[in-house]
Amino acid sequence: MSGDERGGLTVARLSRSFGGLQVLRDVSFRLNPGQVVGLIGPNGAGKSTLINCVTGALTPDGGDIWLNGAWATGRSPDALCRSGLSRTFQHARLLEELTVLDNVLVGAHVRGRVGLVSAALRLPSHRREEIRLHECAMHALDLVGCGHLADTPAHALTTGQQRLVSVARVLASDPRFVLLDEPAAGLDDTETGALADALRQVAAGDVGLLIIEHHLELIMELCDEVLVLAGGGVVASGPPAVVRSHPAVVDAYLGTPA
Amino acid sequence: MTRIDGPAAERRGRSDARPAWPSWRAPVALGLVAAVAPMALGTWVIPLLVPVAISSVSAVGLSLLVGRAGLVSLGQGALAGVGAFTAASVSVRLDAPPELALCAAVVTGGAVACALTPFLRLSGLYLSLATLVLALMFQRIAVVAEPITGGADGIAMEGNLRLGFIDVASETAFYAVAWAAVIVAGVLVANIQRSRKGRSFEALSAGEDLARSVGVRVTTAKSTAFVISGLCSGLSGGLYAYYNQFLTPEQFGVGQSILLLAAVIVGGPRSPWGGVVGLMVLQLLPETVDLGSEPEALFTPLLLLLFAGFLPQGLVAAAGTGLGRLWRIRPLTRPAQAAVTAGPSERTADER
Repeated sequence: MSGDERGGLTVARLSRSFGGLQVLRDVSFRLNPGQVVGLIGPNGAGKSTLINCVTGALTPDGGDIWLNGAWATGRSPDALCRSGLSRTFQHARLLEELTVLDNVLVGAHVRGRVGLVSAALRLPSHRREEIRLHECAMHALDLVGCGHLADTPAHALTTGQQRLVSVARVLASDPRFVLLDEPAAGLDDTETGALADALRQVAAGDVGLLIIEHHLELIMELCDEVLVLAGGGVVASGPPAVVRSHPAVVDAYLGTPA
Repeated sequence: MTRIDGPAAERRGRSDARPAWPSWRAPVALGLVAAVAPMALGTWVIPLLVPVAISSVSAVGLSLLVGRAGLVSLGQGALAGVGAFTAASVSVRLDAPPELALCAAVVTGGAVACALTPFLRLSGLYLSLATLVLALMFQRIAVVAEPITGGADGIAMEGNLRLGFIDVASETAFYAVAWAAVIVAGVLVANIQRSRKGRSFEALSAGEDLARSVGVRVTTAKSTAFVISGLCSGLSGGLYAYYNQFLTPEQFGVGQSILLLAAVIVGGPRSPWGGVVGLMVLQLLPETVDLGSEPEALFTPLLLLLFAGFLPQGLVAAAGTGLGRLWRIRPLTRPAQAAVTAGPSERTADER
């Protein structure tokens, strides 16, 4: 795997340990624009640690990350977000005092340029930017099917709606690559369908998606490629149909026949 | 093409994505109350309300720090002291015009806050500690810096506040200027709260990792919020110097900082006007109702504890909810909530 390929997210031989526990071991993968890659594995396999390392929340002990051809290992999460790499968290973590639209506007932060003085004096440049950011936020909300909830206080949402809004928040930043940590957890069938539709549309817009998920059907339906992580290393990868029959997946998700 | 490209993007569903600009109701109401109070109650309220207005300028800035960024400063009184002694020394020692002295007070308030921003690289606790140390050390520093501050004997101002051709000589004129300053500061802070910068402060309160994940430069955002609060405290101190005409270090003790923090909590930390309401309660109630010396000393800390424990949203938010219930100014539950999807995930966040 070469790091100089432009227009993609490349992770090469990433390792990370906590004390004596090796959580990631030489993990490599590539995410192209418009590609949907699923990351599955049992609890404790290192999936969230991988996302944390790739998005800068944790510093890897070894390995390299390239984002659009630029070496991105050790860059801060905010710098990576400004370069187009965003993430969601396992919990929605909405600001409960704010409305849904305001929560999504928090995600649109990187798309604004106007400074503090313009904002304080509400100058025309600030007004124009606010209108633009609101349109972006509304578009992201519409994309996940939550446009009708824009004025709802975040504390009044169901768990599933909170999840969808957290996805809208990350989409509002106009990312090139999104790493989603269990986006369908707590969603009912209708909401999972809305989420799948939204993610397909996002990917169709040339955005690369890496999805950690235990909802195997969603992964198999959405993804172009699936990585199976176990014990900190990639034990299988390939198209969903191939990975589905891999012994590690059968063992972890479908159960070993007695 | 479904990329989120802003105005040109194809959009579905709701089409009215207009920003909700800050309401003019609160500043207009505050201006009306300030204008009517001396006429309705008599001019005796003016000496009571001028100190409230002066402290309110500082509280407006503190509300942005506490209510939005989730940071606690225990040194706003000391920052006001920096502004006050700057205004006095620039005016007396350099014979500068009042406008320049006030500007210097604002700038030094912000500059001292800026000097403390390295503590913001660490967790919010360190800002609280740094500002507490500033509050505790300020009086001593002011005594030692005698050439500037006049030392323990204090410094007397020379001349009244003058803004352009207007000489703010009478207490009534100062009353008008002080409340105008509160309203201007409040409107500016409210505008910042409803902006991209304001939302970056909000993101901080959800956790630094979340703020970073949406592209917020955390240290810059925290520093900006703190420097804004420092600018407001500097202005507050400058106004105090011209109002009181005589400054001593004792006037800027740690008690003043705690009073400001308590006012913001009692009034409502999320509104720029919360601190103003809080100061009215904390400063006016003991003046107008005879509580006795011991109960009066306990009044502020007890009220702070009560509000922090039982009404953390503060008086302004509680009054807003109450008014909404009474007159249905705005529905408490929006129609959109009726569209909650049926199914196992129907529980709300509160129920969990």
